[in-house]
Formats: sequence, structure tokens, C-alpha cells
Amino acid sequence: MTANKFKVLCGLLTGDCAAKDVSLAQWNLVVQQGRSTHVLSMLYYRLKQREQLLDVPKVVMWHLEAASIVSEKYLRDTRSEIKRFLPVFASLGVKFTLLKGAAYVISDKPCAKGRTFSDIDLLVPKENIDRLEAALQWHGWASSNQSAYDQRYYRDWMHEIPPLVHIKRHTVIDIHHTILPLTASLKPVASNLFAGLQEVEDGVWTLSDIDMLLHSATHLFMDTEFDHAFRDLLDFDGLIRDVLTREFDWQALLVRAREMDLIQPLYYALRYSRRMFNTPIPLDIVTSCEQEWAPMLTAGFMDVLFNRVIMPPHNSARLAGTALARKLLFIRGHYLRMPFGLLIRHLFHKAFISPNEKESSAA
Amino acid sequence: MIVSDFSVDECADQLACDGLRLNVGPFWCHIRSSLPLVASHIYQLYPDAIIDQDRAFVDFPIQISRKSGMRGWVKPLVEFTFNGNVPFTPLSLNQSPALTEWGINWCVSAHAHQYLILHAAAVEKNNKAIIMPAPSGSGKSTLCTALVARGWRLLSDELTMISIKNSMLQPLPKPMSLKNESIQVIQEFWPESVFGHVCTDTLKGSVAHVKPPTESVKRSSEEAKAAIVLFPQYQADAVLQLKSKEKAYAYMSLVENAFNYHLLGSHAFHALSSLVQQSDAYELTYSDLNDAISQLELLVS
Repeated sequence: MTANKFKVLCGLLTGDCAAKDVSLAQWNLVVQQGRSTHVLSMLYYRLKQREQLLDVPKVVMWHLEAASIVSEKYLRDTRSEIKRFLPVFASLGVKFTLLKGAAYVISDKPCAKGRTFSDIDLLVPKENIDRLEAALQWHGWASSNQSAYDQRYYRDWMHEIPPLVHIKRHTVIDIHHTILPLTASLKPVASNLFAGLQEVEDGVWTLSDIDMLLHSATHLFMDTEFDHAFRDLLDFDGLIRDVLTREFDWQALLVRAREMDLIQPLYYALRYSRRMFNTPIPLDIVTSCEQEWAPMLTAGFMDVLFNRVIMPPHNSARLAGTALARKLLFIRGHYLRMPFGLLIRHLFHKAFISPNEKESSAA
Repeated sequence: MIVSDFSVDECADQLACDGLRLNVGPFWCHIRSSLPLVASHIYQLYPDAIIDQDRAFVDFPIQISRKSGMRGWVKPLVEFTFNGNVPFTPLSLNQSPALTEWGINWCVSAHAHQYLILHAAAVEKNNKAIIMPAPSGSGKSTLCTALVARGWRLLSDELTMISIKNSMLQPLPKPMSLKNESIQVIQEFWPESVFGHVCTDTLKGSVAHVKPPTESVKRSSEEAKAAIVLFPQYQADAVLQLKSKEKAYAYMSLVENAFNYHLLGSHAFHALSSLVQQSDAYELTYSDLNDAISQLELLVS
């Protein structure tokens, strides 16, 4: 990738580069890029794990330490929320299942140490959602204030319900019942996900390792916004490296991706993770993904777009056309989420009706 | 070298071209701006700050610039950019010195979590530091500036930084910020003081900054030990009154005025506990600055 501008940050994160070999000027860039991609605390723990913290210059060190203190707060808060959730889920007989950042952190993935996240994402079978939402209300969780249209948008078409916010603690949870919008062109079968759940600690479940990988890829490459793309791709890289420490069957990943209709996002994740982080992914695995699915527009064109949004959103790495790439991928993301007719209807509502609704409700 | 080794034009040129790498307390800011108001603010109020244009590593990359867009033709707006992000809403051009100060304060309070950071002023004399936490409008900055005018060392006017390793106070001797009536009060009380541009109509009313003494800036790497937690209360026509407060009250008030107490968790609890253990706490009601200062001189003598 156009990468050399942030080669050092990537190298320090993956271990390809040692802290002692980094110059002060390079650290300057690493801290700025690491801050804007929210990975400074992950960098702290990875260097700590490799026993390289002593090689970090003193002037740089506080940035990493301070970031690690912030991530401790996230972990503390998440743990205390989980403690509150568990009895509610137990009383309903619903498995408490974490997704994304919280799942990586709570299941103690070494790659996720120091990972921060703004919301807690949960996965719940669709048929349990009404009961769960009603129960959570008794514990102070209320649907964030959404218009009737937004409620319908989420409940009829999306893969999650509108975020629930705790009235006192203001914590936000996103409850998903599957991993892609119901209206999306790709159709993973939700019930497949539930069959593979694994219990990572008492009463706390996550997706199976392979599904976690697939979800990480899907979440990143089928979305409309790419603000956290760099960190999300780093998650994917870390999850791959993590499964490789045990016995791992690459073919099983492909089989599962086919079964879940997720070859497309897997292809992109493998391709870019390899290029950005040197992830040890066998080339033939990428090639066999590519043979099953190649982008409608050429891979070269998609590279131009993704290169721009995966980059840390930081001036040092800004390429010409970044804003345009974001817009095109925003449109692509929506196009993948909804059939064309519904998309037109949705955009029309957002552009012309929602603003008026807000005005009239404010008046 | 220090800022005053430049001429005002050289200072403005550096800010506009490569940016100025400027030492502020324990931090290095890399400030870029082509606005003359920002250049004169830095030239007037940071004359003693160390500059190192060859410095490879800086803590806070900052830019203060005109916001582009058509609205700028009617009413020019200025925005503060940190590390490529714009953390707050733009202000009018005339408020750019205040935006610079608030921006740097934000950089510190949002990132420097190796310190417990309080919204409080801190000054030191005879190796005894006084921390003055107080809600806006209680006269904390006025009293702080008046003490500094009488030779106390300025640790900080706005952000008191307590090391979580040893509970010592880390100086951050930035320009002192005065609001509304206190601007005139200090101009009369301390005629030799150096004032920056008065920013009118900000959220806090009129705001002006005062240059910290050279001595305080030079000693900014010297930590100080807290001895007193003081709750100042200006009250017109009040008779001077010093009331001892309980440690528990002091602790809780400091927590209320902390930016990152909850974020730091047990780090903050331990740092603040030992700070309060070693300090006495008082409430000081005053109407006359000279009376208040004599009283505080007694406390640290």
C-alpha cells in the first residue's frame, strides 16, 4: 500500500519493527497517527508484551502510558456493565453474547489488550429482542430518542435495534440479531451464528473464532463509515495472528465464509490486512477468495478507494481524493445495505422529511 | 533560545511557516498559525518560553487558522486544530488569543492522564503550595494573579496537575486568564503587569490574559509540594474570614473539580488521598486583596 508514511506505526504494532530502532522524528509521527486511529493504548500493551517499553524514549512514554490508563477505564466500565447485564439475561434464559471490541477485550485476546470502544455490542436471537428490551427498561435502559421513521428503519430493515442508552450512566449498547442488515444483498443466516457460540467466561459468550474473524471483516468492509477502519483492520490482523497460534485450518475459514455468504468482505480483509500489516496469510487463500469473488469494478479501483479510507485519518498520510473516496464508499456501503428502490426511499426520507420532523418536534 | 530572542515579525514568520516549537510546562507544543493576533499573543505573553525549532518530538501539534467557507466573508471565524481534528466550535477572529489558550488547556486536560488534573489555580511560596479549586466566578484567578503580583511563584492558573506517581504538583505556568471586572481590578492592583488582547463577547464575557513572571516560567520543571487546599470566596464588603475545613470536604471538593478523576480510577484515589493527608484546608472569605494576601503569607510563613 502507499504505506511508507505509516510503516513504522504498523511495524511497531505487529512486531516487525523494534522500539529501539525508531528515531524521535518517527516517534513523533507514530504518536500522532496512533492517536488519530485510537491505537496508542494497544501499542503500549504490545510493546509491554514484547518487553520493549524500556526502549521507548522518555518524552514519548507518557503518551502511551496515558492512553493505557484510558483503556483501563474502558475495561473497568465494561466489566461493571456486564455484571449488571448477566442476571437480566440469565432470568430470560438468553445467552449474553458480546460482539466486536468488547468481545475481543473480554475474551482476553492478546491482540485486543488496550483496545477501546464506545458502545457495547451484543448479539441476541431476533425472537428474544422484545422480551429483552422490555426487561432492560426496568434496569434503566431506554431506546435513544428516535423518530418513528428511525424506529422503523432499524426494526424492519437493519440488523440491530436503535441503540439503548442507560438513563443514569449514559452507557450505550447496540443489540444486534445478525451481522448484516436484513435488506443487504449478502444474506448470512443468523441462526448459523448462534450454533457456534463459545463461552469465554462464566455466562459471557462470543462468536466462534472463525465467525469472529468473518464478522470483523464484514463490519469493516460492508459499512458506510470508515472512521475506525485502520483499527478495525488491525483487529482482523490480530485475530488472524491469534488463531494461527493454535491449529488453524484455512480451508475451514473459506468453507464457513461461503456458507455465510461472506466471501466478499473476507476477500477485502485478507487482501488489505496482508498489505497493511504483513499478516501471515497464505497467498493461495487470498487467490481462492479472489477466484470466487472479484469486485465488479476492478480491484485496482477498489484499492484506490480503500487505500484512502484505511489510512489513519491524519494529515501526514492524507492522499489526494480522500474525501471523494469516503463519499464513494459511503454510497457503496448504502448500496450494499439496501436494494436500490428502498435506498432511494430511505435517502429521500432522510433528506426531505427527517429535517422537517425535527423542526416540528422542536417547535 | 526563548521567544523574546525573536522580533515580533520573526515570531510571526516562524508561526506561519514551519510553526513554533514551544515549551509550556512539561509539554512541547508545535503551534502553526498565520494569524497576527495569535503571533502577538505568543510574543507578548510567552516571551520567556523556550523554543527549539530542531526538536523532533512534540506533544501537541496545534494549528489556529481562519475557517474556510463563505461565512468567513461576513464574519471571519477561527478554528483550533489538534492532530488534524477540530475539537471545538470555531470562535470569532477577535477571540483567537482566548481560543489558543483554551485549546492548549484542552490538549493537556484531554490527554495528559499521567496527572490528576484539577480545575484549580496553584501558587507556591516558601516551598508550600496552595491549591485553589473553585467554580468560575469565585475570584480564584484574581486572587491567584494578585499573589503572583506579590512575588508568589505561579504553578498554574487554570489546570493544577498532580503527578499520580508522587502527588507532587507539576507547574504549568501559562498566562493567567482574567474575566470581566477582574481585568480592571488587576490592572489597578498590578500596574506593571503585561496584558494581552482583550477578547470580548466570549462565552465567559470579556477575557484577557496576563503574562506569568519570568521566574515562574524558568522554574517550570521544579515540582512543588501541596501544603494548603484553599477555597477562596470573594464577597463585596466582607470582613476577612479564614475558616478551617475538614479533609473529607477538601477531598470531595477536589474530586468535583477534577477533569479526569473517574478516568484515572484508583490512580487518582491514591494520589489525591496522600495530597489531602499532607495538606490543611481552609475557606477564605475576603473583599480586599491585600488583606487576603497578608493572611495567606502568614499561613505559609
